[in-house]
Amino acid sequence: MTATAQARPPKVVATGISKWYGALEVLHNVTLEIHQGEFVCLLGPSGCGKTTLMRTLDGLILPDEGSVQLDGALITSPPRQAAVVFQQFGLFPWKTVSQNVAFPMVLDRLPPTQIDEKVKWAIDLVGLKGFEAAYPDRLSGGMRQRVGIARALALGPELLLMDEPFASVDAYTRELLQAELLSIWERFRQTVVFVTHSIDEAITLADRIVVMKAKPGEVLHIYDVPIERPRTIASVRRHPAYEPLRAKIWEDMLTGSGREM
Amino acid sequence: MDMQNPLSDTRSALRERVLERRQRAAQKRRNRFLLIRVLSFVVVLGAWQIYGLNTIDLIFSPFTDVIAHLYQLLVYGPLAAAIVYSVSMFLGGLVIGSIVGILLGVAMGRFAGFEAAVGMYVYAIYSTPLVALIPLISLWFGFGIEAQLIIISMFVLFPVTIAVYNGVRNVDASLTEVARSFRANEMAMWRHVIIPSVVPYIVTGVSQGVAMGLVGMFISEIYTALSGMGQVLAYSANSYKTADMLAVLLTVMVLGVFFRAVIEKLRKRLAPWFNTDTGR
Repeated sequence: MTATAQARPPKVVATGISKWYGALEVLHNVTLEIHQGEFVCLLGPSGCGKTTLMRTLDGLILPDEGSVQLDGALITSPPRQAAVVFQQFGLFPWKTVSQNVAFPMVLDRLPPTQIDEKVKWAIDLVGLKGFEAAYPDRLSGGMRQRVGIARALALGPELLLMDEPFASVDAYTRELLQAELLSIWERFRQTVVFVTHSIDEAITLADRIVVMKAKPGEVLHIYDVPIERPRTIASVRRHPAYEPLRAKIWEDMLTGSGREM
Repeated sequence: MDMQNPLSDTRSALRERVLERRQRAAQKRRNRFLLIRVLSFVVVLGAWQIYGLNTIDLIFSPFTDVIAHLYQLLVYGPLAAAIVYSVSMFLGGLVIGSIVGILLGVAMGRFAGFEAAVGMYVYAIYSTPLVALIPLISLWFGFGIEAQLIIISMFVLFPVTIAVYNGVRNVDASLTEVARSFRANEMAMWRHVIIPSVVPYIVTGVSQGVAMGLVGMFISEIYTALSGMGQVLAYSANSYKTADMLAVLLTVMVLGVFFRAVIEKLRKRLAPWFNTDTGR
């Protein structure tokens, strides 16, 4: 954590979170502080509860033990300040690109002119101009996730929750989207919680990486990423801190999935 | 991001060219299918004609005779009035059966308690041949318009109910979660998620309801008070007027095809995102 981040008040505080699905404990006593304007990646093997943790941060799931606070207020249902980007995009097939992006603002009953303005802004931002009237089934995976990102950003969220958003697109598109997310985020600096199982993706994007282990899901280590911004994918890969950090996290992940080196 | 714009431009141009080529291929395929359909039509009608010409009139009539009798029945006979009567009964039954079926299916699909309470009866009646219930319906409601409407709506009701129930049960849970994450209340959930996902199932159900409703229409007209097209059919059968019978049957077929085409048009209006070619 950088000194400036520490000086800022915590945006999200998760305290002693545990969650069971039947007899399976998916999260065990997870405590985590995320600061205003920080980009945090939750990283771990499948089954480590990283998605479950993200969903408790949005109030989509309530923990069996412990609590989540956003700006000091207890989270019991999805809060106004947060927006989620989903792994399988979560677009409504019966809504066009514009209608999908407008959807959360329609629910919030914003005035139509304001909605139109924000929809246009967000669609431009993710480079989907010209596709406003298209239905999602006409779009590629990468374009669909751009719609998902536009939908979240149009709300102007203070907390952006991203659940393996690039896991369902091809490797090339994935890096393209990472680069775009970097440049967008470095302009707006929302607080971001980004779930991934890719070490490279975590190092590329995050200020801080929370490495989790499975059975039960627990926080294993938290790493600061000492790579200055603005970043590009190339500048991150070239950075002297990149390889050592990658090796350390890789070791953690092996321990975390219960295998020996 | 500016760096990527030229790239995405060439990609969208490429995509457009691929789309264009695909459309041309689809047009070609459609033309070929149209040709096959026309040929099949010619062969079937030709066979009908030849068989009819070589068979005694009592057993079967040539196609041209059937058309002539159809004209006679329509212009000078009772068929035109019978069609008006039957179709209005059918439409009445279709509307009643569809509305009740949609409400029943939605309630069963969305409220587990309601499903537990009435689901078993719905399936029990669905498994019973409805014809077997007609004496009971006549006993309760007589032989008039009321009984006929009830019979037709019952034929329509079950396919609609089952289809809508499946539709509500198959609402994508990940989409309801998306809506929940954006703070949708129950009303918004219905408006933006549940109803749009169920519309294609409703159309499918009503389309099956059309086919079943036409069955119900004939059965109600033959088994209660003889009336409508059922009456024309029964009279021509009783007096061995085979060509008249075939003319009535031809009319029903045309009606069935017509109503299904109307429903299909309606589906394209109501659910333009739902592509039957790909199932989504």
